[in-house]
Amino acid sequence: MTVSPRRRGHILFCLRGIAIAVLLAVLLGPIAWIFLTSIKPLSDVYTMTLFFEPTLENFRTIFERPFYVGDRLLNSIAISGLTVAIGVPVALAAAYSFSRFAMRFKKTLFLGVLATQFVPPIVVVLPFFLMFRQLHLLDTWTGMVWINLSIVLPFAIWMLKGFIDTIPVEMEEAAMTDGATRLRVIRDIVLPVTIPGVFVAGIFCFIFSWNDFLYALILTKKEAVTLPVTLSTFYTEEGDRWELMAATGTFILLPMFAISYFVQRHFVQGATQGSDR
Amino acid sequence: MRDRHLKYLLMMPALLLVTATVIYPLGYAGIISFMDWRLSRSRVPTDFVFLDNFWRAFADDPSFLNSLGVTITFVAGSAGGAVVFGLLIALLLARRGRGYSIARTVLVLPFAMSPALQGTSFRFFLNPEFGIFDAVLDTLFPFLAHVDWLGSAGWAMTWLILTDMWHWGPFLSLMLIGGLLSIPSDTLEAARVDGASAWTSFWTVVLPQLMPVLAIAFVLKTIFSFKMFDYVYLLTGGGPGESTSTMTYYAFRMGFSAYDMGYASAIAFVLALLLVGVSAVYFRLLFPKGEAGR
Amino acid sequence: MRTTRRTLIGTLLTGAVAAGLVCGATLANAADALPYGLKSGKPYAGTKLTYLAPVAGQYEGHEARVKEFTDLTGIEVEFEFIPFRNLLEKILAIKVGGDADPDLINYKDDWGPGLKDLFVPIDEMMGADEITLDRYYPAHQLGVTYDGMIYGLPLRGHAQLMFYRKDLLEKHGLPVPKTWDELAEVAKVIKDKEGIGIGMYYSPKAAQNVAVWMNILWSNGGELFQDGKVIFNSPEAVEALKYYVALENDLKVNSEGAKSFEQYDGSLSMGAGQSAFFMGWWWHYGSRILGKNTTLTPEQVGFAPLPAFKGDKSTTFAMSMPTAINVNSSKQEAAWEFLKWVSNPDLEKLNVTEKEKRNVIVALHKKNMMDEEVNAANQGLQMAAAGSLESSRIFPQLAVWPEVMQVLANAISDAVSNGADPKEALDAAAEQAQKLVDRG
Repeated sequence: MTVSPRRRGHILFCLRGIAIAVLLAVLLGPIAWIFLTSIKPLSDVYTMTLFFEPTLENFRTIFERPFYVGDRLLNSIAISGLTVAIGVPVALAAAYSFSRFAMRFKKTLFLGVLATQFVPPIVVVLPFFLMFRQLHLLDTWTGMVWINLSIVLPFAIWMLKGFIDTIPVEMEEAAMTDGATRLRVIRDIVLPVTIPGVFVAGIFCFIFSWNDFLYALILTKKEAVTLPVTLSTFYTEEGDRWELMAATGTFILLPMFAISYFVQRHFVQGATQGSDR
Repeated sequence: MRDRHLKYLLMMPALLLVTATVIYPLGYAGIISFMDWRLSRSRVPTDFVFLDNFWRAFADDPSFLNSLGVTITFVAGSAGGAVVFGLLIALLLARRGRGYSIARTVLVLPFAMSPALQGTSFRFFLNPEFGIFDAVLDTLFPFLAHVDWLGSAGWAMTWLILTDMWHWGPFLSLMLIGGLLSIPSDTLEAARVDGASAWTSFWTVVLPQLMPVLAIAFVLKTIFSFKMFDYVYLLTGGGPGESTSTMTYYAFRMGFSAYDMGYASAIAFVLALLLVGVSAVYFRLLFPKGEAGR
Repeated sequence: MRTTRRTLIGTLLTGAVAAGLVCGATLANAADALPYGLKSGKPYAGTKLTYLAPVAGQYEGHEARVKEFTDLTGIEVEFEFIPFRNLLEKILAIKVGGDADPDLINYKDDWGPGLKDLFVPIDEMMGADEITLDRYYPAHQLGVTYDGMIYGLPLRGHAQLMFYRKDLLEKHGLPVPKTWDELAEVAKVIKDKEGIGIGMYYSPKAAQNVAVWMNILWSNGGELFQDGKVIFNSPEAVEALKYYVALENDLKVNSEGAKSFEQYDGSLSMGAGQSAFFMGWWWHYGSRILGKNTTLTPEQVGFAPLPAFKGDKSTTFAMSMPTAINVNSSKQEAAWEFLKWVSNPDLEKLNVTEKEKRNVIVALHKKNMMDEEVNAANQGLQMAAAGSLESSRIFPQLAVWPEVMQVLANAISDAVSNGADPKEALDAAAEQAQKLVDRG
């Protein structure tokens, strides 16, 4: 019990370092192994070996027929990108309203919006299919963006509301006493402070629409097929072609690394602004 | 513009988008849960059977009742687990500094990995012959050397929860880091000056400030845990026996392998009702009396 | 340039085929006659067909050679490849939507009874073009026939075989097991000496454990159904399950991980040299046991019919993947032309003998199964499978069979993993299955 505060600081620092190392191993280990799988020759895929001749064969295969990963990539980027571009501003507006204004039946309305997502997709996918058929939206970007929006919006609103709730109202009130309009307050005061939240919601929207499988499977055919559907065609009748899935997965993760790095920078920037206020 | 109108105007695009999309499919699915729709016999729903599908579930189907229990176990484990995991990550990494910033870059990746690839890969990782998880665990804990990870009820459920936690924990931590970083540093400073230990300041300062975001992370994860399907489908197929057969998985089986869409819809709506109940309780706790105005 | 050359070669080829026919034919207009019963004169030229199929070497091979068909008929065919695991969901969406597209659908034979409203019965077209099912084995004939009508032609199909490590059996002077008891004995010896056992599987995932248990059941004189009643909790069935469970829990002759293995894991294990035996669909031979993922050589791997439980005759079963014509399609005649072409024995032979691009071993035509060239290219696998197919049965033809199979798979897994009593597990499964069957 006679550990000096300085010693204690050192021990804590070391413990923290070890904890972070373990965490990174747990998160990155599986990803690294999947990457290794994607560059292994087939004879080494189902072994533990670390000594193999790396090959790009799997990457070549996934771009050829019948998989066409290249074409699907464009669809996926467009659909997810549009979902974020439309979804985040729309969600932010709604979240602000839910957070700041009093209105009747607010709780019910809020729960209602969230409750649209309570039914598992497997039973609504056929009704969706019938509806999209009537509206001629099957196999189109518009259709896919629309359905993805309807899925991510309730959650994005919910997340953003949480972030806005943490901001003290007083700042806005002060600004409004100074004559600023509501919209200006949102733009100049709320938005900068909620940047981390906006990014988290944006990531959520992007990744969620990026990974959507069941709707894409049933509602697309040829033109708007997305990557997860292609990824699953590697579930062939002759078993799972893990090496090809791994190659596609690695290929999908690369842009995520880039996005993640970019997000990080803004994340911290936003947060710094937030705490400097 | 007056707030009176603005508040509805701000909400309108989101509400319209969501309701216009889901009203038909949800209504359709809701109606067929009261109908007889066996896909093998008819491409359209046939007769109204009122509550028969629901009655069948609770009175005449042990597999459904089993799936109810399995779902609750899974939700408790994975929602609780993922939020705690996320909070631990957040507390570790919510600091300024280049190193931390690089470490945080990694947090998006597990969430970005497609569940299909993750599920398939994790199953191979548990293979006794060439699985990396199996090998690492056997080395670290030799007494677990001969465990068939997905071959017993307890372990299969554990791995299902761990797999789901790996996917969601880091993402939830991003939400929480956002929350933590926006706690004004002077508040923390003030606590430090008071001589509060790290532990006390966590409970008295950090946690209360983080509560809104934490609660939201928890609700979010609860909803997704209830609906989780991929990992059951890819890791265990509901087994061994029916020990990991969740309601979503069971509804899937009823709809697409027994061709009984009416019954599958009924199961899905029981799940949805359960979620309405759970979220109503959360809302009670989240917005104590009179706070609705905020 | 390339296209021109290809077209030229195509024209030459077509010409050669036509020329060949001229020589053999006596009719004046024989120059127009096309092979495989295709209609001459390109009546459907310009038609575009879409074809829904899962990814498998077979279909990739068809797609790669579809130009021949387009040259002969002027019909273009677009292949739409779908994940095998999700094929049924996709087909059900087509059924519910009443979609005219795709024109042709490949499916698994045991889904047939639940899907048949979506398919065109092809008896008449077959009659008109003098195509009969006689060219296939009985099990595959049954697989496309529901209530006496034919709904599709099988394009892919599997027999069950037992694969074993020939080299290890020889090394220890052991015979190829003919009964389950012999198998257990031999496997025990190999497991003691080499440390590897049977690549067995018990996971309810994909329900393949049912297939193994059903072999024991049938060989034990048991049945699944009798006059619409579920009887798979009979004493014979319980005995079969007890034996299947004992292999893992008492005799301990399986490789590690069997409780959580599905069929794919078993053959991977054998391919990796971690199992000495494997029982399953024959395609595992080409792509998992001797595929590019393994170091085993054909000399090391033998194959034989599945062992018998009682007596010396084993009853295995077979499955097939037929292609049918969508009942809502507006191009059914053209689709039938394609079906005639894609199911022709010559194409199948090309698929299983040309090995540069893909190793396809699956053949269905009796003619090809006994063909010397085919067998020479595949280590005689087809000849062995033919023996198994002669006496094969198929899955019960019930709309709800896929779900009944899942119920059974869960019961089996429960008995082996969770210590459920085999009799009680089967009783409960039978009760649940009976309800499903009664509901239809």
